[in-house]
Amino acid sequence: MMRSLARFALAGIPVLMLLGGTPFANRIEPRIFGLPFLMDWLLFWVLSIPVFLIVVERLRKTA
Amino acid sequence: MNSAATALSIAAAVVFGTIAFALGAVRRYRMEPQEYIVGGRSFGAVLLWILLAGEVYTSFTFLGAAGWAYGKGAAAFYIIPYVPIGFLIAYFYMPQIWRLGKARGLMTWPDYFLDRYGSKALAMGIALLQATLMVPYVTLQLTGLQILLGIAGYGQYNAGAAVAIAFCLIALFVFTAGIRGTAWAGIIKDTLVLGAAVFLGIGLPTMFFGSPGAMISHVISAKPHWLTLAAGSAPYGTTWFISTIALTSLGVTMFPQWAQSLFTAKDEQTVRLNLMFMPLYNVVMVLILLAGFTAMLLAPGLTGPAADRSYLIVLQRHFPAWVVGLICGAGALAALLPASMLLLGSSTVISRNVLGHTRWVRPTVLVCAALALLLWFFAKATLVDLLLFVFNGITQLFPAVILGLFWKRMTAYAAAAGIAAGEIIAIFTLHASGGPWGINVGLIALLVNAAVCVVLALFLPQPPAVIYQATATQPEN
Repeated sequence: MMRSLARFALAGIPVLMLLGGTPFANRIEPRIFGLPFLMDWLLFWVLSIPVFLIVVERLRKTA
Repeated sequence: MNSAATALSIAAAVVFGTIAFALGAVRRYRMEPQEYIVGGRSFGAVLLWILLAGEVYTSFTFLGAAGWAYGKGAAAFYIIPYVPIGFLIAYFYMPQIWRLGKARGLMTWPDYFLDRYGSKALAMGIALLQATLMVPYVTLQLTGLQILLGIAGYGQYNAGAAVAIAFCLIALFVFTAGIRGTAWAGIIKDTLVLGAAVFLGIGLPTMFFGSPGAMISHVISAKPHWLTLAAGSAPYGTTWFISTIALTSLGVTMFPQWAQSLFTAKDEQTVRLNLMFMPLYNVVMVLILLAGFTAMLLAPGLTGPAADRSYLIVLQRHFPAWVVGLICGAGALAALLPASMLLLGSSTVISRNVLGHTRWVRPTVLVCAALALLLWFFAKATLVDLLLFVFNGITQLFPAVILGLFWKRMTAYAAAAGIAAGEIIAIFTLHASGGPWGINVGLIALLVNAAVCVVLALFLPQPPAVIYQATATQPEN
């Protein structure tokens, strides 16, 4: 039960960052790779999803 | 050869070549229904990835996304996270659905509804809803195709005829090759779309401005507020942005062809691996948006549908015809292959869940194709309204699917009432630009839907344990 919660919570982090982080990330500076910050923010957390899910998957398998 | 002939020949070669390749790949398979509809449940991780990537990247990706970047600025960024979030959430329920599908021979979402809720009427209603919504979505792909072939023709030929021909070809292709053929064709399509995205998103800005970063600097100097969202409840502001991502992410897997696609997987882990790693492919979206911004700088002032083809117009003006042809070929595949999956999805639910004869799926493909073509000929003007409704309408299935999977009190009546409530609100708010506080109205419909489901399920008698146990997921730990 706790493990399930841990998995949901972990997977929830990128979702929270993508949805809830928007007002914070809604700016142009600092520009990373020349892209506006909002774009960088969204891209970063999207690319982090597989990483989070790999950890979630390990938690699921070693239950 | 003049430009139009060159470009059109190359685009045609891309499409015909892909079809020939895919037909060759599947010729040794006997197309009985299990193979035709769900690929014999034998797809490995790579083929499934190709199929899913092929479905996510449609003519909206190729045209609409760039058009949004061109015309709406930062609001277009919603396209970056919504599919990945949809996949992340799906990681928590799709493997279970796959398991059920394998154990109980499910092929479609209505099959799942019938299995879980025991109501033929509900299953049939869901099937009709899904099929009805998919036909205009196919027509949208045709509209995209017309734009692409029009560009490849440099305005010299009637693109309408070309679209009709291409579509008949695809209908015959789907009729013959089923889901496996579409997956194989996706190998070429996904590769070309990736290549096109890199060229358009990195190559174009580099050629004209020195680098994508330099191009962005130009956008910022020309329009300082373009790349940030309006605050709070303003139109396309942060509230709209967050609520739209929340809404659209839930709708991703509710389309009819998604159940089918995921049921092709050969085991549960194949589904998981795909869902886990598909977000990586969303980089393509960023590249297309960059192309849209580049086009905005190079070809300003385009309005309406011309905004969607802005970067294609840039290509026409500055690049040789073979480049135009190749990119339009890639775009044509991006329109035709999702259309194939939509045809498969709608014909499967109609033949299997409405008519009750799965083996009629192949002729039904041709019927659905004909309907989509007729809609395109005669009713294009009403299309925009239909499309606004399509995504919102499809997403309304989500509460019933999820609650059914995890909650034994959920019954057919609660599900039906919830879906109906959601659809009614979605229809009535079709033209509302924003709900209270700027929240996306589709999300409001979804929340009402979920509330209705929960309330009714609490007050109605619990369904017989037999039904729930049939679909109850095994605890994994």
